[in-house]
Amino acid sequence: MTCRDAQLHLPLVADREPVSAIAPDVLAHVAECGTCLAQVRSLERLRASARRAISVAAPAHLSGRVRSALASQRRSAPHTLRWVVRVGAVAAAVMLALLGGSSLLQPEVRELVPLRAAQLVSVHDLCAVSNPHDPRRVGRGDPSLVTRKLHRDYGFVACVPNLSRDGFRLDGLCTCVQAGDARTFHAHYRPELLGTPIVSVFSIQGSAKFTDAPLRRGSHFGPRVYRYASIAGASFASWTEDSGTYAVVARIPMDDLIRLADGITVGDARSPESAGSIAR
Amino acid sequence: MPEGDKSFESLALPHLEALFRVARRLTRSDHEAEDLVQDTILRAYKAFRTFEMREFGIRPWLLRILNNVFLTWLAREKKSPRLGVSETMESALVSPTVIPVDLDLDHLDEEVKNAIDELAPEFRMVVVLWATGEFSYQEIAGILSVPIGTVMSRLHRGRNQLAGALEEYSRRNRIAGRTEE
Repeated sequence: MTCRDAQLHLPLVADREPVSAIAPDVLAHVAECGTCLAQVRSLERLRASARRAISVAAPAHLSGRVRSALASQRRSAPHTLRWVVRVGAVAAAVMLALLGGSSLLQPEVRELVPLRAAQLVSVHDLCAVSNPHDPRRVGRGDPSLVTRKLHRDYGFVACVPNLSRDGFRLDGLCTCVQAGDARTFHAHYRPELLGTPIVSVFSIQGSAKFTDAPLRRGSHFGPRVYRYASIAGASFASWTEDSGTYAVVARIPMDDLIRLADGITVGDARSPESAGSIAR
Repeated sequence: MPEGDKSFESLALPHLEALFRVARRLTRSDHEAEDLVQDTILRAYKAFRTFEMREFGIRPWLLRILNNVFLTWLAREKKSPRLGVSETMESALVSPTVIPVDLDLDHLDEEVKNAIDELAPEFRMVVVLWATGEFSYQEIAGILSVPIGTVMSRLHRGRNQLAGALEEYSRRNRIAGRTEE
């Protein structure tokens, strides 16, 4: 065997690949040839150098962060289970009603999050003044990245749309709205142009029931049904979608606000992979 | 905490350091590496029921998920470079890796790190797994769900690029040294 023949196989020798993968005459050649042995040693040192190069300690907070995300994930799992139980209960009630009469039919179990539309408008105004703040540290950059982070960390499809085409940039995200145990996120947007009002997009986990204002119902272009009203000079519109309630607030005409809301898609952050396909 | 959750945490969390090491070189950013590790653990947790303990333990499985999550990220960001060349063994093994003997590899870690960062993601993942020194080519193939020939091909190209970058660095330094003289 010549050095030229052996050279192609030297990485296998240097990487301690199983002997069965290496031709016996290569090993014999390396044992006798100083040049090839030196090349093997160089390859070994290259790997050792690469190993040192990738050595980096994980930040101290990573473990806590991951544990916290796992705990959050666990909390959201029983929520799914509750819905399964609820759906089962409703199905059972329907079956009983069909079999035994309507008197056995129980009212539908629904958990409504009581909220005041005026509260959202107040938070919108307050955050416009005290802005910018970002207590969740989810960033102000790419809205789709922020949405993904919220979905990952909180298990909730919050709505942090990209409104750049409408002339607004994401300026921050806060949790100023108190709605019992329901998670709420307030994304606020600054206009690119001076003189244009800010826009708020609220995401509330669950079905919110607005208790303070007689909201009108109606749709615009699409199938989404809005509950909307003018509150304290601001336009307010909300809709329920995908087990969440979403609302937009801005001091712009209602038609413009609904047009803006129509362009918002909920659910972009959901992971396309199913659990079973992740590790395929 | 349910028994299954405890079992997952006790198996998976000791590997955070290793996952972060790989994620850090893949993403080239501390912040994104943390995100990638967390995403990996959460997905592993969801899919834990499908995990079967093999003889090598949970680490290859976690790395496999990490790789898939990373590729999904790349696809979403539309940053995924396509390999424009054939990945067959034949094409990869035409030229052997030759490392100049005068290279002082014990003091070029920073240059090696930069050279790894310059690799295309597909090559980078193989090179990083190889660099850990923990896995055979066959195991890397298992982690990445690619044939062993692909691993050898990518590793060969990756290693050649590292060697080329180091040689170039060394050549520049020699020239600079001469100029100073």
